[in-house]
Amino acid sequence: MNRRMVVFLLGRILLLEAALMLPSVLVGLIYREAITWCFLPAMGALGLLGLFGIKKPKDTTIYAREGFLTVAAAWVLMSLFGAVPFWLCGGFKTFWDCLFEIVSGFTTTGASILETVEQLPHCILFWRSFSHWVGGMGVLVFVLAVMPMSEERSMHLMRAEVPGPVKGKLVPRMRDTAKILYAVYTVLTVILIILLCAGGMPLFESVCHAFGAAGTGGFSVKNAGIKAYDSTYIHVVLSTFMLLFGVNFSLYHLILIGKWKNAVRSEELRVYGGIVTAAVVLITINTFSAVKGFGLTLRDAYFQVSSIITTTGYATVNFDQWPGFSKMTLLLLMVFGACAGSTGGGLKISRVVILFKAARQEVRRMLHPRAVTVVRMEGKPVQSALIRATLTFFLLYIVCLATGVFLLSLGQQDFLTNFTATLACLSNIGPGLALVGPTENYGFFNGASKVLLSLEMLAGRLELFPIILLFSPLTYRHRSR
Amino acid sequence: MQIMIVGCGKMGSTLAVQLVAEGHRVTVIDRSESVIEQISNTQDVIGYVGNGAVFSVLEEAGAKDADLLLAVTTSDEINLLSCLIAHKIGAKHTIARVRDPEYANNMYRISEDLGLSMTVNPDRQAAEEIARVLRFPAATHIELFARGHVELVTCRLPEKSIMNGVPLFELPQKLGVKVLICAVERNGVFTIPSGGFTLAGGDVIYVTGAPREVAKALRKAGVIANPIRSAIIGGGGRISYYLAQELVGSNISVKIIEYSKDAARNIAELLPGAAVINGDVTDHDLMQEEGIERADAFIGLTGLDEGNVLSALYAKRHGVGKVIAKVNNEGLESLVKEMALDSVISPKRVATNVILRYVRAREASADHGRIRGLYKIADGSIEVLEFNASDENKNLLNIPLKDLKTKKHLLIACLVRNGKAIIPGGADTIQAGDVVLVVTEQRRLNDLSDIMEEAR
Repeated sequence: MNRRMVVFLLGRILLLEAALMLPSVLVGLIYREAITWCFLPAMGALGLLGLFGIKKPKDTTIYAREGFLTVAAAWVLMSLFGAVPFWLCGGFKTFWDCLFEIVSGFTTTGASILETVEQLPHCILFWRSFSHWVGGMGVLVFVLAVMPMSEERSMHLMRAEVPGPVKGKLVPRMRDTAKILYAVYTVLTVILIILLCAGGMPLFESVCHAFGAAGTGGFSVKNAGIKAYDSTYIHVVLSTFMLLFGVNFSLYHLILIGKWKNAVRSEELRVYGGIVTAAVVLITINTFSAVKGFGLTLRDAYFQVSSIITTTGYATVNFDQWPGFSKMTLLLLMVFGACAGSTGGGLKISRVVILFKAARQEVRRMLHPRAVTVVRMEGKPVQSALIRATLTFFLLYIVCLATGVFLLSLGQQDFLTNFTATLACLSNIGPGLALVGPTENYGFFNGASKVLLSLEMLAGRLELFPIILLFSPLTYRHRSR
Repeated sequence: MQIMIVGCGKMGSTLAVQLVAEGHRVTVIDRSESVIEQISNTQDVIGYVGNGAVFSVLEEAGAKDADLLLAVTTSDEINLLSCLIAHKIGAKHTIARVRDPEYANNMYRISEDLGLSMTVNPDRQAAEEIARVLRFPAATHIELFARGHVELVTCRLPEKSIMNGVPLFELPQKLGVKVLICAVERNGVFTIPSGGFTLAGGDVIYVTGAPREVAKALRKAGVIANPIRSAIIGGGGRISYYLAQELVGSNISVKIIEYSKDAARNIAELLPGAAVINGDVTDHDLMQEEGIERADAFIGLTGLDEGNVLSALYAKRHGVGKVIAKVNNEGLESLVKEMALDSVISPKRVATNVILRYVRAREASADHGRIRGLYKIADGSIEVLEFNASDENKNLLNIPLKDLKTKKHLLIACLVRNGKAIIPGGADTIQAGDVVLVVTEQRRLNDLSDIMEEAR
């Protein structure tokens, strides 16, 4: 293993994190908050460790192993250092709380241990929401976009961080691909900020909520969340943009280069649209009450479905009090997640499609044992290696979920809480049901549970493999096995 | 540049690695999924799975915006078709690998219709490379211009040479060969010499001309001390054919040893000037019998890398001055380099280098208007530019060169007309359709017409 290169890359990333804290410091200065100093120790430590990222080692070749390891270690380290300002600002009880909060931020989960947030200083609130925006598209993608390191094999880095079963590039050069992704991401975020401001939301809150929606995170700067805004306009704008951020970003690139027909024809997009529509219709019917009226019911159903399928986790209603059928629909959406190549979490729609098609193929083979069948996705045949990888991913997803629920059961909570808490963390959603419902928080879990849930969040964000490999002894063995 | 590579075999992948390293945006098309996965995992390229000769595949891969398409699959026909279609879609330049001599020989007749910028033939290019190695001593440096029609050889004049003390305008008579000295380095200073310039021992000279002429001139000048007069070639394949043709043309006696009776007969029919022996090159008795000790050069060109290396080593032991072996296997190549061979030739690498040279020349000329190619020599202080003369350059067409008022420190080094290099004299004229090679210290020449002294 090329340890020097891994250390070099990690140094670069830590240096970048120090730079990423600057906007929060700026916010602190604008609001004249004395507590802004709490960023300085973290930035100092990051800058010092970042010295490892200055001198490029002679041998820069990395393979899949280094790629996965770098990404996993980068996210763990970033979370550890990102938690420092929280710890120093005094608004949190234990370091585990801070760690949980920042992991929840970077992984765009949006699960909080705080009961109320409005008492926190602006700089801390901004750092919380900004971590969503950074984590949404990925840190290494950012490193690839902005830092001059046209390393060959850097595909291994991107592959470990970008979600989806097939990790493709949009244009030949990795750097250009990363730039396009971040450009689309930034432009959409800015549009959302402008639209929210136009709807009467104050600028600071618009920016933070836009970050939450763009990264499909879900941290709010209001105690009551999005419910605090009694404006259909804001609800609809946010729902729509959450859905937009849940779309595969390569489709935006297709639209930009004039191939919008290909974008519209995308099978994943159509399935995504279909699932959203069906879920909205079903929940609207199920939760309809004459008191609330059809319009508001539809609005809340639309908001909640967009929020959950894109794994954002904003809430305008306490869906924990919805009828069982609606809750079950939401649970299913939590598992499905958004499209591959978006900022959302979960299994990803394209995987779900492949899983269903593979299952159908197997059923057909039962009836016609000698049938030669081909699974197609986006009009192209899916190679059996990809089907196998998808099935493995699904299995590991279940294993991670089961392990999480199993270990959480050592605590005092009921099963539904444990199950939905693990699911909400693994799929990077945020709110679950029962004790972790949309109006509750994760503060009551003990330290060990918080660390466990943090790992679940990291595993979910990095699509399981990097985190599993980080803890697998196979990764560190010198002999090839 | 935006470059597409169709066919990701050994040549395609080598090209991809090099081109990415040189900062180009590379797209690769291959039929095999695993090949594409491998290359896109290890290199910063984008890969498409499909047949690169199919319209929709090329279109999806973005041939419309490609600056250059390289068709290097194993099939000549697919390569040609791929270039034709890519050209139709809008690729600016295309290069096809064409190996079959039957296609290659007549390519210039149809290359315009196919939209081809160039064809590469690894076998022929390997043969040319071998011929160059045989022609020049190791210390010389050789650049190719106008797709190999013109050579530029850099070498140091010996202290005793008939060239010393001769003004340049007398050189052609003195040597009996038409070549041009386009630059001279003396005590670290580069100059583009005029006709009155006299050469001295120790000068580093840059000589341009048709390949054979340059060799002849350097032989007379004493730069090449021991010219090769006889060569034995092991194997009678395509490269041997091209090489023997080249060597026979330079009055070198050639003996080809070919194992297969049919192939031997075939090559004997094609090459009346060469002696063809039916036998095994690894048979030492036969080698002795055919006079390996008296040969000046041995070139192992059979289909077997190991046989080539071993027979070349055998030839070296028997006192052959220059031994060269063809090695296809890249892994073997690096090992063989440590052995006592004078040169190791890999046809694919040679062809790859030809393409890379083309890409570099294209890129250097990309922001220079209508230049076909731009090369820097003499540590970058002198530029060699290739222009296409067209009807638009009215101000200089059909005027004898001695009457042309060109800028200072500028030389018209060579004209290529109908595939033949002409070293122009004062009475020659530039005609539409010529490739004109200009050597200059001036920068910012964007068009052939720019070589003229500006009217005041």
